[in-house]
Amino acid sequence: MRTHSILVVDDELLIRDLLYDFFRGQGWEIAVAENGEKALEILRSRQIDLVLSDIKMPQMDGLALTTEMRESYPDIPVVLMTGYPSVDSAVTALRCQVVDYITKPFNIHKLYKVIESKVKEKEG
Amino acid sequence: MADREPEVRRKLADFFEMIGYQADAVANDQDVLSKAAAHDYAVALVDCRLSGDSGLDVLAELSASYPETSVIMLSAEPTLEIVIAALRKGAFDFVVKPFDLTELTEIVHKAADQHELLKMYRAMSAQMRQDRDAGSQRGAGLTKATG
Repeated sequence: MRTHSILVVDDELLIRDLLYDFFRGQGWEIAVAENGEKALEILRSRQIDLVLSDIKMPQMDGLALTTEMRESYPDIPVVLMTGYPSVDSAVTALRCQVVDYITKPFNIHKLYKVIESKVKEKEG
Repeated sequence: MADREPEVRRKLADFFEMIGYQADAVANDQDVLSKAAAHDYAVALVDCRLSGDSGLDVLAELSASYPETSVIMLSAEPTLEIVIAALRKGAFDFVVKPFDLTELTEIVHKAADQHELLKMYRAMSAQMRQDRDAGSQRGAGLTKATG
């Protein structure tokens, strides 16, 4: 079975480290970026099955990254996470066709189930 | 157009008829589902509070049974939970009431375009599958004939 790959985008180093260790432990390939611009650089250079991105980040936030990805990488599912949830950002996320919107703090095992199911759905 | 407010559903249905759509207006979830079973709708406008909170159940049913229909959810009192539920159940868009009719019209046009694209994609995928199956059957026949 092919190894799945995930790109985690978050400006918080602690969150990036936590998710890096967790997904490595599950046998996934994982790339990390601290903002949307760095994430796009990574997407240009390697195959990614799913992007898990924070919304509020400096330079390019998660909603701007998702909007850009809908143009350039429409087949890669995006899950957004945020510590500052709001109706407005959830509506914007829906319009950007993200596959889920997760509020922080999250249960990492529930998050993993969501991500695993979305990658499997994509594989058909 | 599914809304429990008679005036809202009638005015919207009349408006979309006027700009060239064929529109039906219904008041409850059972009527949405029976209409959807009988027609190939490009777009469904569904209020979240159709009967109780059943608008989200209608969305889930439409997404599962008629994935090519783009469903736009409407709500006068959106909460984070309702919007996230709509996102997870596959809504095409979420519009907060009171809405700007010009903006809603643009969203409906986009939703109708999405419906056409999905139909085309599914037809092309089906054709490609048929061609592939026919090709492998021909290959099997050739192996049998020559083997």
